[in-house]
Amino acid sequence: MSLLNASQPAHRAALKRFAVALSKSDYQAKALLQNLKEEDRLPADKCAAFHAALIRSRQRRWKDRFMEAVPAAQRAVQVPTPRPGCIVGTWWHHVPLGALEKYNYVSLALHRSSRPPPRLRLLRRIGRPEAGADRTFWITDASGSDADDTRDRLGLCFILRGQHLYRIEVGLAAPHRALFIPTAIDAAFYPAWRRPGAEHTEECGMTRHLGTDVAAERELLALPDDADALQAEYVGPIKTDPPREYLRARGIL
Amino acid sequence: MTTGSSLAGLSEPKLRAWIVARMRGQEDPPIDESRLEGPDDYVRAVYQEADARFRARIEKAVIAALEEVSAGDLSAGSDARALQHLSALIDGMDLRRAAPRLQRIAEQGVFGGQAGLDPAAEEMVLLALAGLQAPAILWAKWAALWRQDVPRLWPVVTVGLRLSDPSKALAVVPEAVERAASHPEFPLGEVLWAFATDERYTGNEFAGALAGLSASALERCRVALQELGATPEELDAWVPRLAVTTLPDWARVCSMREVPQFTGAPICR
Repeated sequence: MSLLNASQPAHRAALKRFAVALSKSDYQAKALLQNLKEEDRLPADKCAAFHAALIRSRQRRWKDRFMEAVPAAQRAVQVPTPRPGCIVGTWWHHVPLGALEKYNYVSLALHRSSRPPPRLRLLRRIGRPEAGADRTFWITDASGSDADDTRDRLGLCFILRGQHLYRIEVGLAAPHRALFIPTAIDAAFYPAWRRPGAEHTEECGMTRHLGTDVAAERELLALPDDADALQAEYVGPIKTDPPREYLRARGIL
Repeated sequence: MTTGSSLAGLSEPKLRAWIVARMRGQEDPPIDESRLEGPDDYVRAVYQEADARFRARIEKAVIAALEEVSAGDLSAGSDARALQHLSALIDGMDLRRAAPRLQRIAEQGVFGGQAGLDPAAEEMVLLALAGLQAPAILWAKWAALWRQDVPRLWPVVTVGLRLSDPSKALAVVPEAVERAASHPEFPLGEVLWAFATDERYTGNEFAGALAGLSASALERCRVALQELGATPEELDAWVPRLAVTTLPDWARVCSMREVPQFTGAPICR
C-alpha cells in the first residue's frame, strides 16, 4: 500500500490535500511525493501512525507537519536476524570534511587550505551528537578511490565541488546490531533517495546514481555503536558539481 | 519550498532575511542531519551554480545577514547557531570582505578578552577569520590567545597563527608538542600535519622548528603524524632523528648555564 493511501476514511481528504501541496511545490517536494507514492514496505500500523501524526499536527507549514510526523514511522523496516547474506564485509559511512568540522566530530586544527590527511581522528563516534539522543546514519558496502564517482554512485547530492570526501568504517561484526532498510520516511526530503525497483530482492536498500537514477549500491541505516571506527579515511577531493540527471530521469526537472 | 531560481527573484532585503532565517534553522529546504548536512550547504550550492551577478547579490546578502545576526544574543540559541553556520558559509565562499565584521564578532569572545560567544560559534568564527585575515595584521591577537589557558581554542589558534605569519608561527610548534603532552585531547597530529604540509614553508623549515625537542617529544610527533597516515618518507623529511650520541632526555632539561656553579669553598664552622 502506498504511503498516500489512507486506511481510515477520515484521513483521506487530508492526505489528498497534502499530496496536492507537494505536487505544486519544487523538485524536492515532487521527489518526496513520488517516494511516498512508491513506498509500500511499511507495516500497516506504522502507516496508520504516520497518517494520524500528519493529520494531528498543528504546524502551519506542510513541511513542518511532515517532519513532525516522521518519528511515528522512522526505522520501521528492520533487517532480519540472522542477517541476510548480502550484508557481509566492510561497511562505511561517507561524509565530507566540512561536515565533520561543522558537527564537531574533528578538531578545527585543519583549514580548507590544508592538504587533507589520509586519516583523521574522530572526537566521538559517528551518529553520536554532542548532546541528545543518538542519530541514524547511512551506510554502504561500496568503496572507491575516485571521490566524484563515489559521491555520484552513493547519491550524495549535497556534496559540492571543492569538498573533501572521507569514509568511516562501521563495525557490523556483532550479529545482533540493529540495522534498518531505509524507507521514504527515513529519507524524508532527501531528493536523491528512491525506493529500489521491484527487481531488487535483497534485504537492504539501494542508493541511486546521481547521473542516471539507476540503483547503484547497497545501503542501510545504523545507529552508533562502540564497534564503529573512531577515525575517518580520506577518499579524495570532489572536483565536479553533483549531477542532477537523476531528477530528469524521474521526470521531476 | 525554496529553489535557487526562486531565490534569484528575491529583493536584497528579502534575500538577507531568507539567509538569516535559514541559518537559524527556520527556512526550507529541510536539512538532512543524518547525512551531516548543514543549513549553509544549500546556500553554497546555489552560490556555486549562480551567474556572476547573482553571486555578487548573494555575497552582499550574506554580509548583511552577518551584520543582522551579530546584533542578536550570540551566547546561545538561534542567533549563535546562525552565526556558526554563517561563518562556515563565509569561509567556504572565501568572502574576504567579511573579515572585519568577523573580527569584531570574535572580539566579543576570548579573542577580545570577553566571554560573550557560544563556544561552537566562537570556534567557527575564529576558523573563518583565520582563513580570511590579511597577513600579519592579527598576529599579536592570535599570539595573546595562544598564551591563554583555553585549550578548546588552541587548535584553531594554531591555524590563525600559521595563516597570519607562517615564519613566526613555527615558534609555537614546540610549544604545541609540549601542550599535547599535558592535554591528551589536543590534536597534535592534525596541528603538525597542517604545518608540515603548508606549501609556504620551503626546504626543511618545519623540521627545523622541531629540532630542539627531546627524543621522546620527537617520537610523539612521529606517532601523531603516523596515525594520520604520514608515509615513512614524509616522517623522515618532517621529524628530525636524534643521533645516537645525543644526550638523554634528563640531561637535555638543563642548559649549561643552569648547571649549579661552585663559587667558593663551603664554609666550615
